[in-house]
Amino acid sequence: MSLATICGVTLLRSLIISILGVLLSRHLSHLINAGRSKRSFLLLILILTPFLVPELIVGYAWSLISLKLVHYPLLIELIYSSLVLLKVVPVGIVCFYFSSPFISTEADYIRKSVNSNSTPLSDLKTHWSFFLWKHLLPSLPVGVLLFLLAFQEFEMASLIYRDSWMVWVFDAQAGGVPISETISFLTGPLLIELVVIAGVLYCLTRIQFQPRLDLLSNVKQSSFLSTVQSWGYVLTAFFVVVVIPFSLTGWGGLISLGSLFQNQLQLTETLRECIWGLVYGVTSAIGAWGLASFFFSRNQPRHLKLLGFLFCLPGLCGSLTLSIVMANLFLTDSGHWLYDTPLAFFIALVLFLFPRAVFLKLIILASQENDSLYLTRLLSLSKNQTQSQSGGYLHWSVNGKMQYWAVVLLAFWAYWDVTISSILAPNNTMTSSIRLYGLMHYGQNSVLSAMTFLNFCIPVLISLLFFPIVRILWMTVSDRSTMNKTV
Amino acid sequence: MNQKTRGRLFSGWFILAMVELVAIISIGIFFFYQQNEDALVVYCAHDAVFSEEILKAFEQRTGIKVEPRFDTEATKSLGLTNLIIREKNHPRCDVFWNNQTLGTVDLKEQGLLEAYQGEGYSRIPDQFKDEDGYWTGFAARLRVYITNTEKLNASKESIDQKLSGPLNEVAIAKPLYGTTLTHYTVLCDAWGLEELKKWHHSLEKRKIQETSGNASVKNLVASGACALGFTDTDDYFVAVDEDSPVAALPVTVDGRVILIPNSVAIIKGTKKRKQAELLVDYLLSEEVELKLARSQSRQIPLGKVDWTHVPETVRKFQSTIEKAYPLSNLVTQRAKTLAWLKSEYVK
Repeated sequence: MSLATICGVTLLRSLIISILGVLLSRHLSHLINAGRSKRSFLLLILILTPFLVPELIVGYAWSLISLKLVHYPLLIELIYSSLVLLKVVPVGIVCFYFSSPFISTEADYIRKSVNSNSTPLSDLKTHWSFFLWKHLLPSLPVGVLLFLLAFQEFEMASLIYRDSWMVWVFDAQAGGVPISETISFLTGPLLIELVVIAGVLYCLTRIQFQPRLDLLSNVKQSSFLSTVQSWGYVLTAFFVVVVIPFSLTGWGGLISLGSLFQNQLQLTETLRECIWGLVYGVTSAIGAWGLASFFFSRNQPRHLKLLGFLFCLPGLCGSLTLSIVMANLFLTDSGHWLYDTPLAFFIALVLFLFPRAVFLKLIILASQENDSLYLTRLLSLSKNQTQSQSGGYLHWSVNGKMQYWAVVLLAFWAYWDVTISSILAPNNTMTSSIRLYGLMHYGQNSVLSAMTFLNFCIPVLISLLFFPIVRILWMTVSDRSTMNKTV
Repeated sequence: MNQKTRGRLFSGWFILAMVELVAIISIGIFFFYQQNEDALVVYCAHDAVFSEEILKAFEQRTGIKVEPRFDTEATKSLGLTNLIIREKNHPRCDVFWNNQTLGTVDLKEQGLLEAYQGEGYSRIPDQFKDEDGYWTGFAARLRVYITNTEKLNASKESIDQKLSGPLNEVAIAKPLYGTTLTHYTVLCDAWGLEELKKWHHSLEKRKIQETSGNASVKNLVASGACALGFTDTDDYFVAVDEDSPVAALPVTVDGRVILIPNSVAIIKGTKKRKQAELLVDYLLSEEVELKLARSQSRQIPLGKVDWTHVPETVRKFQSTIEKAYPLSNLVTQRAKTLAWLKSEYVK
């Protein structure tokens, strides 16, 4: 198939996934809204976990299952598209959960109640206006985000052998196509991405001055049937994207962990690469989060925020585009002195993570209330030690904890990245995801499952281990000067 | 309550990120100067699982630090052969251990290799090495038909019969790269390009299952999704070790088998020529050929070895060495085949 055809296939697939994703996300965000008062931690975990499971693990597990279906390409396509959909829907849910509606339920109720009468509210123009502000405009940015995630998906497509423009460009590279030609291949997909990004930026600038409604006032009561459907979806997604892959790798891993420990060379190399993955992951996550905090802190001027959005563009164009351009840049006469050093890799990872960091930053900002932040800071400044400690702890709970998990999440994404690592990681500091990805193409064996399981467990355990340490550090060195003015 | 929490221009996170950036730049510069002095950089297309042990043994024996970069499905994006071509103005690699020969021959044609004829070179038969010593082959794989024994006998008759009908139960890797490209190049040499094109289009027309690599061909046949596939002996042995119901039969072209050796070459411009020569000699030694024969990939030794130390599963292929199709003069055919395949796949 030609690149144009494959690009068309990926585009169509991503469009369908983003439309379905938006519809599902809207519907499911009501579930969280309904459960919000109960602070349903379990529900949030269930909803978000499919997005957090590395594509490498999901692709690996499902490639073994889809192998049996080689004579039914449509069924494999359906499996792949469903997996992408299940993985991107949590992002949509989070977006809808934290976004404020433009049309209040009261206004909508009035519109519906006068619908039958020949009032100005029932004409076509008003209907369109309501549709635009109630459904289309709030959904468009979310749809574009889901579209970009689906359009740039690579690892699962590669492992399940699905047509995708990124896999095609990878294959072209393997055939010895010069890098200049590869970059010309990227023009089409890049143009598509830039057009949708430009479109959504235009929409965002149009709607940013619209008055927002209080989220809580718009919490809708879902019907029993709707709640059952939502729970059905959430449990299915959790089963397909989390339970099945982890059952395959976890079980295989547990039974052959002993064999892995006996192979000292394999184990040492895996652990060494795992540590490098963690080092790169953590440093680039801190870098991306630092930049996001700089550009998108609450009172930053508009021009800095705009600059921040511009910095998002390289990452939004996808890891393959980014790493090929970076490799090309660092192979020039002026850039080669930094080629094959951690710097090129680090910069690429930071640029890749930056849009994700901005996304998390905006979510955290949307969820934090200035009043509560202020009060916790005030309490932490108290001369009474008990009050001060309680204030510090509260401040950690409402602010620090979320930032910690945001950095952990970013580090986790960088840790599991394959594309950038394979192209830009220095020879002697390769990351474990590349080794796993290579081995996964040879098919399943229990030692590989054990390696995958170990590589998953190490960062998770380390993040849990560091949690209390970071909390103590945060509370100790928490910068008291952030609150420097009270009006 | 009317209050405002104002963030400063530079938050703690931003300062931390900046400190980190400075640290990374320092480490980067340190790496750059260190890499020019220290380790021998080896680009290795042979599977890391098998080659790592050999490179470690070399390190222990000579005290020369080796810094390998492995070629996997993941690094296909830059492919080690392509990477060497791209880095030609600022080479990083000292020694290239390729898992086939034609890519290495291409590097020689582009003037990116240095000749070396050491003691290792002399123990390898002429047909598997460059006459000027720009590259030397060792430890080979055989191109084979892999069959699922529950579905098809591994006999020439049944395979021929299967290949003459619908091919929806037959698998082959995309011929744009790897040993399938070598296979196509041999066919181009034996049949001519037009005949090869006809054959390829006939496979497509009869719905052959085209996969991304030989390993996936093996997976399809071993799982029973396909009855027959084109792959290499190393992938076949992986299926054997997994107790899958598979058998193999060498692919023959004009009565000769397609034997694909590893190859080793020194990259032009290396600043560690002495260390590179030591590694080349080590890789071409009997010891390494025996190690590779005993490894899970069961490579066939090409130089003189004590065959009693070679596993039985490999020894049965000893006779194929003399029947090997000559690969060292296929540069033009490879270029022709690749140009045509690019027009088919990269458009």
